[in-house]
Amino acid sequence: MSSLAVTPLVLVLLSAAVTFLWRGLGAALASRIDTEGTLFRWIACVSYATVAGLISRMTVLPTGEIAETPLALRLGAVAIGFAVFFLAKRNLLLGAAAGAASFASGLILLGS
Amino acid sequence: MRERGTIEAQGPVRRVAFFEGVRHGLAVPSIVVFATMLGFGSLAHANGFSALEALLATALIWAMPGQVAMADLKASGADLFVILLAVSMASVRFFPMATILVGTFRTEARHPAARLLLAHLMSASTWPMGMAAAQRMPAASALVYYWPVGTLCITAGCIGTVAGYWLSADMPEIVRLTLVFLNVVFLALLFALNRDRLVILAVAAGAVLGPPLHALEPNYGVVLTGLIGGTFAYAILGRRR
Repeated sequence: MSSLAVTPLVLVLLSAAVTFLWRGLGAALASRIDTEGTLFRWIACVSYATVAGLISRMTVLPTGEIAETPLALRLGAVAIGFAVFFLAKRNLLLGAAAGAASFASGLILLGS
Repeated sequence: MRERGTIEAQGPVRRVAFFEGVRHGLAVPSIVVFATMLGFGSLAHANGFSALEALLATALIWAMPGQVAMADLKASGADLFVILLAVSMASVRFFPMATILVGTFRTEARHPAARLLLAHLMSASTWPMGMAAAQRMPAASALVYYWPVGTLCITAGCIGTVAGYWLSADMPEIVRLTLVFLNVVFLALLFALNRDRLVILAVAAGAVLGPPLHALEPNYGVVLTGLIGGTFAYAILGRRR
């Protein structure tokens, strides 16, 4: 596949279409399918690994402005977010806030 | 927005369920969704989308990982085919989720459009709430509960997206960078909510493979990571349940 140039709007609409495909398929096949089956388990694994790979890559090798920030700061802030998340009994908001706050503090300290 | 005669036609039980849905939809999930989409809005701004495109992405895709994949891969210059494949792979989980949720409400939501709307309003926050409601009240009431929950969450997401977008446009660099970074922290923590060993292994495999595979093959890296990491996790733990 060569890189087809599409406008961001078309990209959004196509992304919406490929996402809705799964929702629609699930709605259409509701209660006629075994969601505990082997195929679904493999699909779930692939889906989770895809997103985890993307997030890990966005942390280690980000694109855009954020690539200028130190790797250690990004990793450290994620680690602090995780620590607070678990200390606060798996509180998503607190963990995310702590991670973002650490990142911002680090940027201020580094004087960027 | 979406009473469609359900409220006035039925008894107090449904009204109670509806207002419980409104309360729950306005509470934590909407705050979490707002905060999440604040990050996406700024990422969309950083990666060259317009405010309207960012808003449409949240309203029509309504899947944080897929939206982030789309915005990030566009900026990294990946092929259209690869971007769509990755976005699609990031959202495969909606297939089993929709199957279960729509199956739960199949006698109450008979119209195909209602079923598709049920599936579209599903997200990491609304799906568990709808399923939990179906456990503790009759399915008909649970459905009346789910509509406001889903509608309020997606509305909060849309408001958050636009807010994040404008904040990014007018704020100093530190705020912009922090909001973009919020995406990473948020999605990473979303994984940490999982206690399923198979999911944890798939996430770990993907996280380890992601950066090196991207360095080797920038275009297909994310897709290869999903296939190799996911298949590896499945081979190790997937067959024993």
